[in-house]
Order: sequence, then structure tokens, then C-alpha cells
Amino acid sequence: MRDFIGHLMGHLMGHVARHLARMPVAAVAVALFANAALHAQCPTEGDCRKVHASPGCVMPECCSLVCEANPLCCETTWDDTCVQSALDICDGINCPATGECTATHATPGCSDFTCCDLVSNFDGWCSYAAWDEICAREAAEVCGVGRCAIDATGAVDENEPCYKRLNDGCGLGLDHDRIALACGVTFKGRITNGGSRDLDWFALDGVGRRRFRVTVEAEFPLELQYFRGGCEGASDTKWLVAPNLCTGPIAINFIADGGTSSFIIGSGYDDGPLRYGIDCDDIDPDNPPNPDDPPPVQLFGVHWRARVDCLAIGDLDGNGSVGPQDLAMLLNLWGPIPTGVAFDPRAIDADLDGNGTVGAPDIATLLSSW
Amino acid sequence: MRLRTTLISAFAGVATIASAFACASARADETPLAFQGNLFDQLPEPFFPTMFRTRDLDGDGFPDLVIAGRDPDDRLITQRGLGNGRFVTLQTLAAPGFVDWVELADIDGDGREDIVGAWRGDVPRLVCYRGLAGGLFEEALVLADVELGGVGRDPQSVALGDFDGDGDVDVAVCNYIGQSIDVFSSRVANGGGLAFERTARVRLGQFLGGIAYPRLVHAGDMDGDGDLDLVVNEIGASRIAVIRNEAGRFVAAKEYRVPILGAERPGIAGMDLADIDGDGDLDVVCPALLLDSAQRVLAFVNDGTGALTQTLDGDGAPSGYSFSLLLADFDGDGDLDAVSGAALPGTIAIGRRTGAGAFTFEIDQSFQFGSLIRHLAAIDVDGDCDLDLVGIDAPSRTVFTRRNVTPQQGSGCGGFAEAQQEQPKSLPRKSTGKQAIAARPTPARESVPMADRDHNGVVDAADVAIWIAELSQAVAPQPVKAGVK
Repeated sequence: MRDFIGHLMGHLMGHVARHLARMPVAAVAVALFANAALHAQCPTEGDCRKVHASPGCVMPECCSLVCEANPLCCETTWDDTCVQSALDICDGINCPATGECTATHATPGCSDFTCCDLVSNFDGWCSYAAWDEICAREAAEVCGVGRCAIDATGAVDENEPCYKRLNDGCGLGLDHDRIALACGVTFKGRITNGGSRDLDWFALDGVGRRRFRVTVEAEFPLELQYFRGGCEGASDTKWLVAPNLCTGPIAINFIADGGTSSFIIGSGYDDGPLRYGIDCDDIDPDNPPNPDDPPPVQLFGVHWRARVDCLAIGDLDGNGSVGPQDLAMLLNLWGPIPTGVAFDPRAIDADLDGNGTVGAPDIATLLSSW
Repeated sequence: MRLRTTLISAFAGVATIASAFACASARADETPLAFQGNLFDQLPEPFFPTMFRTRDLDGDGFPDLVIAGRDPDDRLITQRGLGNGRFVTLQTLAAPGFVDWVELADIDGDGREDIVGAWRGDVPRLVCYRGLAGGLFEEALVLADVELGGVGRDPQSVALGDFDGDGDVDVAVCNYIGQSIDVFSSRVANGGGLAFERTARVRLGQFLGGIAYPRLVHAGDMDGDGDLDLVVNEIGASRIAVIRNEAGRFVAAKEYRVPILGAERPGIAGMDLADIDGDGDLDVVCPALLLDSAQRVLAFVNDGTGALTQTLDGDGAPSGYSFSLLLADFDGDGDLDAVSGAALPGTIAIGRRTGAGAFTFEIDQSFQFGSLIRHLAAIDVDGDCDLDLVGIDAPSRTVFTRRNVTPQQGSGCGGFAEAQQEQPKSLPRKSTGKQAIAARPTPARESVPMADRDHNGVVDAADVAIWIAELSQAVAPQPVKAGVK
């Protein structure tokens, strides 16, 4: 129970800050006078939005906000006045609520408070609108996983304070730099979000098709992309991979096209980006935090580590040499590449010339890098 | 195959436009476009109309309207056309949650067109109002929702077509907050009823630090392979996305960034498909909202493979913030003229295409009306064989009509007797007479709150486009004057 309360205390102020933006004036006043800590009687039994005889209610944050405004709600009974306060103040607070956290349902929130609160902290839709399939998948991925720490000792730092956006490529309104790729080098960096989410872009520009292997590990929900094109004109994301949280390093052996292209590290899921929940905790000397600001929320760790290896294009298995096993793999994949399905870089890419078919020209290319 | 071809042409209205109005060189002797003053009808409070589709619902020979809107009273409204540019309410349907966009097609195969739309509320739903006799519709049937099929977050527009080539109508849904396109394919349910299965979800702007905010999705055969592709405008990303149909499947988008015009990158709140260069394929046209210079219209030129390889721009609305755009042949000369709609002040600029191969327009008429011209359509409301202009000023809840009195070239259709012109009594703006455009000072644009709404680190025209697109109630009226050349 102590851990439960401690978890709540750690996130309550962040919740309050978010809810202030949509509260009516009276409710804002209530919230401003509320203490950061949970009210001693919260949570208890009973739906916060329904009258019940016992004091307090089941939603910890809502219960605390109401009882700070009206202590009788936590001392005598949860009456009409308490219910009305809850309806006024607790808009968007729906943890816990009915429905399994890993199952889709048309109401906001879910039954496991810890999971509901965690997901809602980075995806407000889930506790404000409906617990849709995205919420359910997010819950399945992050709830109960805990935190993981990576060791990036000796890695080359991206040198980007988290309050700045220096290597965000084409991801923002103004074009930014990208991290210059270096073969065999391990890089490290941080990803934060809030406002413009942070993305770390690696430049893969070059002549002709080249094979890379990137090995990436992160403390947050990781989203890896391969982006083709420059910031102006046409571009596309050839593939996006979002491995499960804290499942260790992921290695992707892929072919980059000639011309301008980029490899992107960010935070997110298959369904969408992670836009909240990993606040920057660096102090921006030009914009120091207000003493009244809530502390930064970091639901996950912020660090990543990535090693980039430059491989021969025929090195399908990525073992550092081109040999019979690579040829066997290519032959096994002979024929046209299926269309109408998303490209999966985790599958072996034997279309060395990128013409949509694994065929004789690819054998020639492979042999040339034997 | 015949059925498939029919469906494509039936549902890809833009394709029909392309073939019917293939661009030809403008004639040197063409006369200025001329439209009569506004006829108008106001919708009930607090309805905030967002767009409409036209059909002859009741079979009387005159076009009627199905009007989508953001309505705290949860309504979707159909209106019967009187044949003189006026409309009266035909039916009020329940629509819990705002409905920003509707399309019409016979999705249940009973020979009558149905309304397909999406409720945007906290529990978004894809719905169908099945057509009945006499131009009426049944109340909504939910085709997909959060639990049933998985509708994305904040579905703001839909496009219809036979995407998988199986002879029935499928639905593409544009999720504004979800930043994705969902495709729902028609399936036969147990018992033969309507059933839809989500067969694709394509993310948009996934490489962005900001938010793409895709608003409109249109269907058209962009690459000439005989099936329907999808085109999306991403307001926040300032990009046009083309999602090619690959054997009935949609997988990934190619995204084209809006070019900088002058010294700034425009915001693109709207989008349409049309063949602007007469090469037989569909190009993408957008109203280009600019903060520091005159409004423009922007075209992305298709090279025939679905790749947008060049951009062209021409004159847009002379005042306000460009929001909507309509291309249609108003003078029957075979090329596409342009009508630009703007906001704050509401402005309608009617431009005649000039010059072969050029994307330039002579603004023949420009007038102020209301605050936000959200939607424009070219419809022959009176049966005189030319295209009249029908549009919506959302904040004043007004459907307005301007009847076309331009002498038509080549069609053999003449004009018509001048209609009784009525002036709005409760509208925030009204026309005040004729005045040469060149001699008239450009009305001041109204200020809008500036903020980084797409979270891309820059406050620019895209943020203004987002702010206007998200308006759902009247803004404070300002007195403006209007003129007609």
C-alpha cells in the first residue's frame, strides 16, 4: 500500500497540471489550493460520481481533490455535494474504472489503477475519451514491466540537451541537423517529449544501396524508423519498428537506398508516437523552470544506445562476411517481393538492387561482395 | 469489371470532374465570370455546418443537400432544393458527436444512396444512414466503433469507393488526432446485413516531432492503374500524402511537403483533386493560407504515376485566410476556374482561368460574406445548364447560393431571369454594392490567436489553418464591405 500511495504522490501534481487546463474557474481554484499529497482518507470504496454512504471514493486523485475542497466528503458521507464536486473537478480522471486494461472498451479508464494511471499519464485519451485498442495495446506493453537501465559507457554522446532540438532532421517546422553516421561506433543519447517530441535522426545519405545493421536499446518505448528523402519535396517512411519496452537490444539489418535517407530513434508504438510522460529534466539556462511548475514526469527512462555497423550489401545474415549461407538465404527468397504488405526490416532483405524482385541481378551483386 | 469501373467513376467524383472538365487552353475572348448576389438560408442554432454533399434526394429534378456539422444538439440535416437557389429543411437526423464530413453512396446495395459519416465524439463511430423513399433516411446504423472494428481517434472525414475491387463500397476514414487513415472494407454479415472490417491503418507523419493533423481524405486513381488511391492533407505537417492502392491494400504514404511561397510555408486547410494541366491524371489543389502575403491557390502536379513532381500557384482570395477551394468550369470553355473561400473576413473570390498550361486566375468577382467559408460546391441549382456556386459560412450557419449568369461557351445553355435577391438580416456581414476590385482597398484581416498548435516548434500559417479548422462556434463579427467587379 505504501508503494501504491508513493506512486500516486509522484504523479498527482502532473495530473493536476494537466487537468487545470480544462477545469472551470471554480475547479481551478479548488485544485490550486489542493495539497500535492493524497488526502488521508483516499482512496476508499464507492464510485466518485455516485452517492454512497461511506466517506471517500475509489478514485484516489478525484477523492483527494474533492475532499480538499470539502473535507466532509471524506469524514461523513459521499453525498450529492461530493458527487457534484466530483463531476465538476474530476473531468478526465477515470482511474480506476470498469473494464480490463488490456481489453478495448468504450468507456474511459480501466480497472487496474496502477496500469490505468500509467497509461493515462502518457496517453490522456485513454482516461478522457475511451479505452480504445491503442490504450489496450499500450497497457499490454508497459504495465507491470517496470523500468530498465542501459549501460552506455564509452558511447559517443549525441550532445543534445533535452531542452533543445538539434538533430531532429525534418521532424519539426524548421529543418535541423542529423547525427553523422560512423561505422562501428556506438552512440548514446536521450529522448524526451512534451511540446515537440524529441527525435534523433542519423544521416544515411550515400551513393547506391548500402547495408547497415543498427543495434539499439532504450529505457523507453522505442520507435525506430527509416525515412527516405529530404525535408522538401517527397518523402516516405519505408519502415517503422516499435519493439516492446525493456526487451533488450534490437538489431536490424537493412538496406539503405541511395540518395538522402535517415534512420530515426524516437519514442512510440506501432500505433503512434509517445508524446507525453518523458519530461526533460535539464535546466534550460535561458528558460529556467518556474518554482511553481510541477516536477518533470519521467514514467520511463530517457536513455538510448545505438551501434551502427556498415556491412557488405551481400551480408544478409550480418555475420561480417559474405558467404554460402548468404547465397542460400537469397535463393530461399527468390522471386517477387510481396506488395500490399508493410515492409518488415526484421525479415531478411535479399532484394539487393531494390527492383522488387529477388533474382539473378541480386546474385551478381552478392557475389561481387563475396 | 464493368461494375468496378462504374463504381470508380461513381464514387470518385473528382475523376468525373477530371474527365468532364479536362483543362484546355483558355480562350482569349472569354468574358468575365458573373454571378448574382447571395441567396441564403440559415440553419438552426447551434448547428455549425462544416460541409455538404448534393444529390437529388427526392427526385424532383433539383439538387438537395446533406449537411454535416458540429452541433451540440446532435443533428445531421438534409435540405430540399427549391430549384431557385434556396433550400428548406427536409429531414433532421440524430448525430451524437460532431460530424465534419459526409459522403453519399449506395453502400447496402438496395439501389438507394445512403449517407456515410463519422461521429467524432469521445467514442468515435463510423455510421451509415440508410436511404429510404422520398429522399428520407433511416436513423444511423453503426458500422464500426471503438469495439466494433476499431475506429481511430477523431475521425474528421471519410472517402468512399470500391477500394478492394470486389464490387461494393468501402470506406476510408481520416483520423485527425489519431494521425492515420483507416480503411474499412465491406463484408457481408451473417444474415446478409451490412458489416465492415478494418483492413488497413496507415499512419501519417510518423517522423514528425509535431502533430500531422490530417483533415481530409479523398479517393481518386492517382497512378492510372484503375483502382482508387487515397490523398490526404496534413495541416500540421504541411504535407499532402498519397497512399497508393496496391492490389486492394493500403500500406504506406508518400508525403509531399508544401513548398515555401514567397518567404513562408503556407497552411493547407483544404484540398481537392482535379486535372489542372489537362494530361488526364488527377492533380492535387489546395488553398494556400499565408500570413505575410496575399492568399494563393496551390497545385501539386501529378506525373501520371501518382508522384507529385511539381507545384504551381496562382492568385487566391484577396483578403482573409484562405481555407476552401473549388475548381469548376463556370463559363463552359472547357477549363477549370477557381473559387477561393477564406476566413476572417469570410471572402469568396471567383477566378477565371487564364492562359494555356498556366495556373493563373483572373479574379472576376470578390465579395465578403460571413466569417468562414468552409465549403464550396459547383451545382446547377436551377437547371439552366451552368454551374452555380453554393457554399457555407459556418459561423452564421448559412447556406448561400450565387447563381451563375456568365454567358456559356459551347453548351447552348443561356442565362436565366434575375432572381429576387435577398439580403441576410442576421448575418454578420452583407454585401454593400458594387465596387471595382482594383479600386477597393483590401479589407483588413482579422487577428487570430497565434500559438504552436501543431507542436512543431514554429508558429506559422499551418497553426492558423489548424485554429480555423477547429473553430466550432461563431467568432465575433466585424463590419466589412464587399464589392463586385
